Order: sequence, then C-alpha cells, then structure tokens
Amino acid sequence: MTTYDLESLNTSSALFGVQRIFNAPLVYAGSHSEVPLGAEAEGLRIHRVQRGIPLLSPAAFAEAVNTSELTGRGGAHIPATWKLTAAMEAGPGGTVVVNGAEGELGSAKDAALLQLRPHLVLDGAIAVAEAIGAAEIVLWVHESSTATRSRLVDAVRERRGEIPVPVRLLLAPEGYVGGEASAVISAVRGGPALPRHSRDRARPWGEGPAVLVHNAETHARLGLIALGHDPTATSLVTVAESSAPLHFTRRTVMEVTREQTFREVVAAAGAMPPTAVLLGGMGGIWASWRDAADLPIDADVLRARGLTLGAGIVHLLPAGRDGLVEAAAIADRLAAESARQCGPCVFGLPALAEAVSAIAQGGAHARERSRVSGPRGRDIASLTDLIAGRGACRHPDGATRMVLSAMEVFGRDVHGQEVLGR
Amino acid sequence: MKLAVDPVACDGLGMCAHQAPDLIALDPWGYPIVDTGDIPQDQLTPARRAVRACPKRALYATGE
Repeated sequence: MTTYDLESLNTSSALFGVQRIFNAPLVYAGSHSEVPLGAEAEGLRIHRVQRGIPLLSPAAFAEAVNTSELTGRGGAHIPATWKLTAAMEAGPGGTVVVNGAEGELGSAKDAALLQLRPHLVLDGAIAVAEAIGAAEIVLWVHESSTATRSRLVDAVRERRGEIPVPVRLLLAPEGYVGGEASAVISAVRGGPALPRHSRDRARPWGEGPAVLVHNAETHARLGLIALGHDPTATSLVTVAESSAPLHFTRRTVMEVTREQTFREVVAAAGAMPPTAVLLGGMGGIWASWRDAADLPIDADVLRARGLTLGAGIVHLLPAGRDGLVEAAAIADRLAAESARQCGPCVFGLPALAEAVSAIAQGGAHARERSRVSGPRGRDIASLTDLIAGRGACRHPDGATRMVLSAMEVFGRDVHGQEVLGR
Repeated sequence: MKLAVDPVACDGLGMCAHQAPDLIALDPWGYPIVDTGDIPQDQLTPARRAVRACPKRALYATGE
C-alpha cells in the first residue's frame, strides 16, 4: 500500500525564491515504486506555468552548464560539463540517454521524478540533445517499473511534435549493474546491458558519436538550467527505512537545501533517529549518527569529511541492529549483483562478503582466525586492496568502500578493539 | 609504453605473468595485477611478449 504524506508539507520560508521540484516529501511504502497515492503527475501545461519555457540557445545552454558546477546525481558526481563538452566534440548524430534504471534498492528519487515531473526531465534531455546535435533520445527504464514507464510514455505523447528528435524507450534488465553507464551505452548500441571496459575514460562510448548518459535527477537539473533556474539550490535524497537489512519498508524522497542537516531531514521524513547511516547507496560510506546527524547535506561539506551523497540515499540503521551484520548482508547482495565478468569482482566480492560475515557473526574467534589465514582468506584489508580498481565498472570499488567504512564505524563497537589492527 | 588490462576480456589464464614476471603478478584467483606505470627500457621486450601471449587479447599496451 502506498501513502502520500500530507502532514509534512514543506513550508520552510528559507526556500522562497528557489525553484522547487516537489512541494512535499513523497513516501514510497514497501519495495515497489508505485506512484504515491494522491501525488499528481505534473502535466505539460502546469509544468510550463510553474517553470516557464526553455529559451537558451544550445551554445548558451552549454555555457550555463559549464558555469553551474552541476555534478552527476547518479552517484559519481562528475561535473556535467565534462560529458557535455566531450559529447559536443564527438560531433552530431549521438544519443542522449535518460537513465531511469535505479538499481539501488533504497532509492526512489529517480522514479519520483520520472513519474511526477517527467516534463522537467524531458526539458533537460531535449536541451542536451540540441546542444550535442543528437539524433535520438533514449529512455532507459526497468522492465518492471510499469508505473514509471506509463507516466513517461504519456508525457512524451503529450508533447509529440515538440520534441526535435525521435524518442526511444529501452527496457533495462533487472538488477544493479544494468544502470551502470557503460552497460547502458552497450545496450543502446544493441549489445548486452553489461558494463564494458573503456580504454579512454573521457569518451566512454569509444569511437564515433556520443552516447551521453545521465540519470533522471541530473536531467531534471539540466532542465532547470535550460529554463533559467538555479540547478543546485536543492538536492533530492531518499531516506530509506528498513525492517531488516535491505528489506526497505518506507522510502521517503525529500528535496533538501544545502543548509539542512541529516537530523532535520530524517525528522521531516518522520523516521526515528538511527544509530548510523549508510550514505550514497549499497556501495556508499557508513557514518555513525553521532558524526553525521548535524552535518549539512551539502556535497562539498561531505566530501571534505570523506563522506559522499552518492546516489542520494540515506540508509538508516535503526537502534538494535548490528552495523556489521548489516554490512555483511549488503556485501553479500553486492557480490550477488556482480555482472560476473571481471575476475576480481566475481571471486573477490564473495570472499569479501564472507570475511565480513565471519567477523560479524564469529566475534573474537573469527578475528583470531583472520590473522593466520593469509591472502586467500579473511584479512579484509588485503582483500579490499586486491579488489578495488580492478573491475570494468566501479561496482567492486563501491563494495570495498562500504566494507572498509563499516569496519571503521562498527569494528570497535562490536569487539572492543580495532578489527583491522592498523 | 604502459600496460593495461580489459578485465571483462581477461579470463585469468595467466600467460602474461609468465612472460613478464617483473611487471605482472597474479592475484589469488589467477588474474593479473599489472604495474601500470611507464615500462622501463629493459622490460619493453617482456611487456610486448606478454601482450602477444594473451589469447583473449585482454592485455594491451598504451602510449607506444
């Protein structure tokens, strides 16, 4: 069952003058991304009344992206201007992809945008398509996301004749790595939706016209630029509550300003204060609530503290749940989500998951064994060294990052002394 | 010249490490850990042999 939380309408006066995307927190109950009950998809007419019409020339748009300091909101936070510039240099005839394959179980912000603000996302995709002289726009959404798909198709139909290039709907396979950019590029070109090794990082599409992939939120923010609004005044985060590790019961999509703290946002989402948070998604970084609660949700502040907003997920560890057990479950899930192409990921992630699980469940005994079993086995630090940076995509890197931060945050609590012994 | 691996193409056969043991080590699962720095003069021949030895064409040289 889905509910739409009418009680917690955001009325902060500090937001006056900022072009907001959503008016209220959006509550996705359970694991499905059905449209929240009562939440209205914004039609083209309302969207235009609210936000105006795109007036920038392609050159002015590219310049505005460059000066905006907008970064990709799919997780990596790469400046949007890098991809745009490389794609413009690659010449006309390329493809702009709206990546709506949100593989993170705890995230719902891209679903919310595609379902409820499709025209803002389309404005961004169209502006990018015009700037790079693209020949088509591809909408990449999970096959199972029927609600998202039908809302998106309705929106494209609503502005038929107004979109300068053909729009193609492509269905992503289920799973985590299907939303990875190189996997999307491969699929757009008719190959399998699997991550590919790129010999030139600045041109992940290889030779020829660009295949420029941004997630839905990045496109929405590019849309704000095209419409003359500040694209980085707010960010979208999903506050993810669960009843057991990775069993999400309530995901609340919140539009936050840079001044708001985690404590304020978790309270506004109606959630109980956690004992720790996993920031960014399954491949994100753990922080204790003591350290994170009063930090502002500002990408720069978080980066300076070695944290990340990643794909905008604030995964709450409720009181009474063991962080290492949680980390072991997530590591296990990440191992299962491997595309099974690169050796260090295929063999390394299960070994890593097993090592974390042994420490989480075995206590002091497991830690004793971990010292003597050598490089094949259980020493987490040497395992992460073996895994990180050795896959075609960043999937294994995220797993090592998540595990190392879990050891740092929970290691001492569980065993009374440092697990890594560094 | 530098060495790089396409990890998708690599099957961990390990031929490369035999040809250039000073540049390439194998991890516990048999996949190559490649020294990604500039290859010194006296290692150029082993590096080229290692590239040629890869049946999957996963190991490649850049900046040559």
